Amino acid sequence: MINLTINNQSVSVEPGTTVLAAARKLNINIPTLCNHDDLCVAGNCRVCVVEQTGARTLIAACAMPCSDGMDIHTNTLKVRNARKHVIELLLSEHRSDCTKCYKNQNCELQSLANEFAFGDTIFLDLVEDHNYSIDRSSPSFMKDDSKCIRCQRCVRTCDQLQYISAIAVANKGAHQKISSFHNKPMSHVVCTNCGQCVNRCPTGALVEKTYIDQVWDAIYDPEKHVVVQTAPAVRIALGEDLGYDPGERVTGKMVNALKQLGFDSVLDTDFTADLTIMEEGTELLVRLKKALVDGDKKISLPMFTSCSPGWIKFIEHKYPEFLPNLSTCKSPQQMFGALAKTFYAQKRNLDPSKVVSVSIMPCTAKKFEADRPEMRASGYKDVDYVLTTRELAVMIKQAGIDFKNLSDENYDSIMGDSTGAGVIFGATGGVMEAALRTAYEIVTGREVPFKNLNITPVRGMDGVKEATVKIEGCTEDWKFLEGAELKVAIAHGLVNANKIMDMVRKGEANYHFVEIMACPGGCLGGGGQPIPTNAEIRKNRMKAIYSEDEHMVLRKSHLNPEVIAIYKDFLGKPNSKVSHELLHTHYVERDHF
Amino acid sequence: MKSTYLTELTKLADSMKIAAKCGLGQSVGNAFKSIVGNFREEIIY
Ligand code: SF4
Ligand code: SF4
Ligand code: SF4
Ligand code: FES
Repeated sequence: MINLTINNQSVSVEPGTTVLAAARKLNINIPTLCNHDDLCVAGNCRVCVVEQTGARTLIAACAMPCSDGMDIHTNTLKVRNARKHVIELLLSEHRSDCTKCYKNQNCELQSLANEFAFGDTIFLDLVEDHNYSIDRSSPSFMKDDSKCIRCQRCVRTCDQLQYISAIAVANKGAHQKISSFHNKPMSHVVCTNCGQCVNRCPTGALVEKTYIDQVWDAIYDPEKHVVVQTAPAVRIALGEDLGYDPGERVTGKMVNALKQLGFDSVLDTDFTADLTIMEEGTELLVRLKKALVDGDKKISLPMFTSCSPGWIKFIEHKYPEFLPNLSTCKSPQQMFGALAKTFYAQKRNLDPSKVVSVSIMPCTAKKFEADRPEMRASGYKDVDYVLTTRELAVMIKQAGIDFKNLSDENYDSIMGDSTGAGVIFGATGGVMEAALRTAYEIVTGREVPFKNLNITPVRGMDGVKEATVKIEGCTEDWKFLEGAELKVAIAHGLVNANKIMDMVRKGEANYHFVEIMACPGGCLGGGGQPIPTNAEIRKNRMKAIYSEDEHMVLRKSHLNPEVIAIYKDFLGKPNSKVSHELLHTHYVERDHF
Repeated sequence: MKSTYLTELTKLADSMKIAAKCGLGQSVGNAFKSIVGNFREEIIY
């Protein structure tokens, strides 16, 4: 252990601990900007400088490992002056139009300015000299260089967590900027729209593209019937933006709030998550049969899940030769959209051109997905507007709703029923677990052999998880799978997806089914979730997801009564012709840069 | 006015000397500080 003192208080830490982490242990707050718990050290903003007795210069607390006998002071005059200078210099190049800024009241630069740099400054305002540009090309997020402080959190995120490097630092000194390949618009580069950079940007330089006003317009249009679907991971994170600690389940309050906002019907993406299991599970079993029994060489295995639009765009850019391995199932959001303007409209006797379908997602890539030309199976844009969890919180605040005191309400019907299997889609490993709960039962007629249906090997935060399920006691139809070992793998965060893809490409992997989610932790750590995010917060959200599952009466997708009914009334059976028209899709190859 | 401004800029140079990430930033203000230190009157009047 290493012993040091910070502001005259002693502390012992493990070797390698930074001064910043040691100070946090003592509840001493050192301001930071470029530092982020999920990312490697950058040490470039200098806001975290502290004084070390005997040292020639101040040291960056986020970057400096503790050493024995260090005597650190976090609040000396030198330190205060330096911090004030750093922030004032940043502000001199920053378009500080806070009152009009999307990040107003939720901005790390603003809070630091509030602490250190109020009043007049001696530095000239250089904003006009800089000729900053705003990139609105992506349907998912905007990049406003006039708000950028060049902390490079986004660059590190895109490289370290997502293995994409769609953005990088260009130029030096005063000309430094965050740029894409050849400074192309974000819509034309390898960016997956995952929004992980948005989630970690400390300022308003990267923010989701918001469709709040369009949704209000639709709600207040008497001609329109507005349906809203909520993704599994929204209910366990929305509370964070409305005064709760991470990990609070607010499903019932959220449904109530949506009703109060004026949506005509509040429905659940979990319903189509269950439907996805029926379609995708069947697709997997059919592929296995064709490959194992019919010896069809054209069948592509392993099959990859297709619910995460960030992952879809990643494979389209980076591993296009494996597009046939992707399940053809649309994501639950898009299945819901296609059904909202067909099945739902018919059942409710509505003119589909008057139905507006809105989705609340933990995700910015979903905004891109909804815009894809493939996603118009109903004859209309299947999902009209996608809002993030954060945008929903904004709407709830705009409406003056006292969220904490709302009573719990239930989802409307039809397309509001769900099972625990649908809800765990929100956590990494959840789709796999849900699929196994159903597929195993189809094949053997028995429940998966895991205590309480909890398939623990596929759970947890390991980057790449592997599991093998031995299939025994098959029913007559599935005899060919008797004794087979189903090998599955799960990855979350595209850096981990890349590890799996690399193995698959080299022929080193013999998986049958692989679940991949673009975001760390799965959707619960999505780019549209409340800010901040870190490992601890994601762990709490994960606990909440599994406890939501445990609290459901039904926990297997094939038992969802509305799923059973929709096959009876409308779709026929999984992978039927109607299913293929509405619920399945195809993919395109994209450039590598 | 100009005099306060110079004092403020000297303070900035002091901060850079101890807070910049690399040696270049730490030393770049030295020339300025030296001029202000030795020729302050000439700069102000
Ligand atoms: S990014 Fe932050 S400091 Fe800048 S204008 Fe927006 S709220 Fe204000
Ligand atoms: S865009 Fe945001 S995260 Fe990226 S460097 Fe600028 S301020 Fe930092
Ligand atoms: S949205 Fe995702 S892929 Fe695009 S730049 Fe940000 S982190 Fe990279
Ligand atoms: S937070 Fe330490 S240098 Fe930026």
